[in-house]
Amino acid sequence: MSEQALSGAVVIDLTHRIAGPYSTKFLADFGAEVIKIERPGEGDPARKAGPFLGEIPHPEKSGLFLYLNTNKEGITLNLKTEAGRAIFKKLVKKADVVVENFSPRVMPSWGLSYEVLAEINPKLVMTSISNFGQTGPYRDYKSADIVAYAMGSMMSLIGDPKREPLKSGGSQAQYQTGLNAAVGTLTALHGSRVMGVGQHVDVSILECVASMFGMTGYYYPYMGLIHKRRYNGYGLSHPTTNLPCKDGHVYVGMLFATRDEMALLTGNNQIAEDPRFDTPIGLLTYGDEMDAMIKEFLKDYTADEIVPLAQELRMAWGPVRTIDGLLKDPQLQLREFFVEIDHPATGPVTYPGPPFMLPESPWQAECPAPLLGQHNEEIYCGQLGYSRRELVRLRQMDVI
Amino acid sequence: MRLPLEDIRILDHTRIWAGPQCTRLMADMGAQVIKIESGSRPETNRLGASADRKVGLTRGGYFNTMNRNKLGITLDLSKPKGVEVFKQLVKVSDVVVENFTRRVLPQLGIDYPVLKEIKPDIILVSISGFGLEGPYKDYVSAGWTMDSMAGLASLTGYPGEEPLYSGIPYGDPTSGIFAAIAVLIALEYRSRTGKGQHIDFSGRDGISHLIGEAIMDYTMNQRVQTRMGNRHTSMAPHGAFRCQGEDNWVTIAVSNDDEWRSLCQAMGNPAWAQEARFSNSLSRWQHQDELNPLIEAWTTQHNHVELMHTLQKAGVPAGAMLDHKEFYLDTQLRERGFWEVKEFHDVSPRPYPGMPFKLSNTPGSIRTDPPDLGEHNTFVFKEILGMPQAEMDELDREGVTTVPPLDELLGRTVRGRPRLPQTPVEELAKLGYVGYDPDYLEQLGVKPPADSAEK
Repeated sequence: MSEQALSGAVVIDLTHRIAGPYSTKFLADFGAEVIKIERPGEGDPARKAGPFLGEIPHPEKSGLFLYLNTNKEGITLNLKTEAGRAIFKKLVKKADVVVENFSPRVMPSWGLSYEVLAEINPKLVMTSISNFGQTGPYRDYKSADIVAYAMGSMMSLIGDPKREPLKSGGSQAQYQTGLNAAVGTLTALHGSRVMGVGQHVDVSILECVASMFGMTGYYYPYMGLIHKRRYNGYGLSHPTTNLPCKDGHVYVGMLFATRDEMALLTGNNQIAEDPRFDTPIGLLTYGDEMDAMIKEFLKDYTADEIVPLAQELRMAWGPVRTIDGLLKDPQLQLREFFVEIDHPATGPVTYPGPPFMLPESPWQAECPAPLLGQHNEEIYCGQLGYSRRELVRLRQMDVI
Repeated sequence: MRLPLEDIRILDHTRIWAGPQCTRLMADMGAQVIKIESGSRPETNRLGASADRKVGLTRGGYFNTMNRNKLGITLDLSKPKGVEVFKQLVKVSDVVVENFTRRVLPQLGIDYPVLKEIKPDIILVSISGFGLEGPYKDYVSAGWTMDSMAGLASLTGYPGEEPLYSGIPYGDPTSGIFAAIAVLIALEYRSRTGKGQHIDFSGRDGISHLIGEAIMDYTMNQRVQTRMGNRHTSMAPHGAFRCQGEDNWVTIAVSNDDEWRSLCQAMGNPAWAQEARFSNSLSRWQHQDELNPLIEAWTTQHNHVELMHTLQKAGVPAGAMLDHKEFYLDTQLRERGFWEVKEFHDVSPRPYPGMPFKLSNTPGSIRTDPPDLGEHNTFVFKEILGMPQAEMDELDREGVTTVPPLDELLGRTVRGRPRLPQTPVEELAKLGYVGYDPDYLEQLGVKPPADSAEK
């Protein structure tokens, strides 16, 4: 393997589903040795979640699992057994980082709390990701992406004010948490290297969502305003919305531009001259009429025709990309955002690749996500010194 | 107490949200962040969402939240002497973060090759909408543009209707967090190899990274996922259900039969819940159009927050939709100390979001006020650069570091429009676009005693 940014760092990855695996994906993709521990038999529940290659459920063909676990080594280990926990402690001894996302009761119930692990390895960074955090009255509450989105107040901003508020597409609460957990882990790792102290990083999905608010979130403590969702605008700005065009939708906004430029682009002087649009209140009241004028204009253009013209006038418009459109996007192609990764069960498949360009220590797809237990022999025999006979016994005892 | 990033100095040449979010995460964890503003054109955020509707350079809620724990200096980089001082700062810094359009650094004569010559192991992070090269390299971008172009908007919205942006300029905070990850990774590389680098981060790429499985569904199966409202691919019921009051909702996400039985019990085991069409996960999912209104007929009789607790105690994943007032008052966020109540400059105590992750030994906190314009000029120029007083005076005289009087800044117009349209609070409330509590400080429990209302 080539030298990468995080080469030499050892991460024991006890995470499953999305938030945890996404955070350790950053570590693995930039060179850390990430040893992913899955429970024997079933493995990470993400293996049971789609999308599946060919739409046929198969534990080695889940697109979700494959995407989130690139460049990791995979072993099976049953932490419900005494022998399994003893092996885990051996792994912790040589690790820099442990990341887990069980509910807060689980690790202590196995006798594997941070305090115990820190005694084995005082410089250890342990990151615990949970729905509501390791403490507090909701600690044991259950959650889901939609629940976190609602409680973190992000949902109050999306959708038609007269109808059901919406969550974002996909699993954004989970992914945002993965991002924050990566920052927390890397920060603590830096501290461990520089100051020689390990620590426990407590990441709450609710708090990650509640951290996302922007301008509208300050309205209350600063002015007493409770911002409500708007279908086609944000705060007092209008329009900020996706409008239909000839072949799809275009993001239409006025940031960095004025009504004069909007009038120039659309050839409709009313947009610039109508005094009703002069004030924020006027825009909110009569904004739909302005949108109608823009829509009328957009009818004749495809998204990729109109956006360059708007951009010439320094308007931050953009084509609304559908998922298939992303694969054809010339900018993403030029940045080599999509990469093909071969995998024994799926064959070569195209994945989203580098999230950013680090030219000296680039993102690499050294290997695909592990098959369940793929690296058992390598880790248990190669690193921990178990014989193959012992490995067979451990398997018979349902430890690995 | 020592903090993990104390040994890192960051030159922060960013504005608005994405860049400041990146440097805030690192400042909160101890990095010394020097925020550079132009004296004559300070961050517009200083003047937005003004505390108690009184405008001032340290009264902007948005600015104050994004820039705590940072030092602030003024430096006019359009003047050669400003660039000279910038270069001196680069020499003693570890990281430079910028989020201007790609032409700005070369124009100022401070692009990466120049910085590298001054400080060979410097890490420069350029945060942009679409990246530094390629057909969209000169596109201007707002957080919403990235959201739409990344594919996320195509997945957000009611089924069959318009694609929606994610409530906020989603690309902005997201970019800041990605950029912080990139910096931390580059710092690890530097620590072992002594090498810096120029990081090219595109906010749109970042958001596309957050919908990986939808992209994989296309590359594996040619299926183009699209908007499905609050529906889930396998869970049902899964959605937001109307509760008592005007715009109150509780979300419920049932993933298995146990949770379904618990939900039925909480509802008082109504007869319809026993019907065959709702008897298993698949069948409930197939009949959710009929199922959801039946559940909603029950939820509308209850308070959204109370219902959340009732359902959670019964073992059902449920959460109240909290608005931008309610989440400041939420028990969990309060008891975990997520909100830190702080007094900044002339703004009385208010709650601010704390750390999104808690480090047990070095927890971090809001240590210092967001900087007033040019507040730390003396400290930075004298203590960090060792600049003689005479030279500092000269920079001030020549307008390189000058801070103009507030009235002059406020009186300016932008393209013929006043710079500061006042927020028409009462009118907005009357139109129903916002809620309004005149007694918001009491509601938040941060009302200062009458005699100290204004410092």
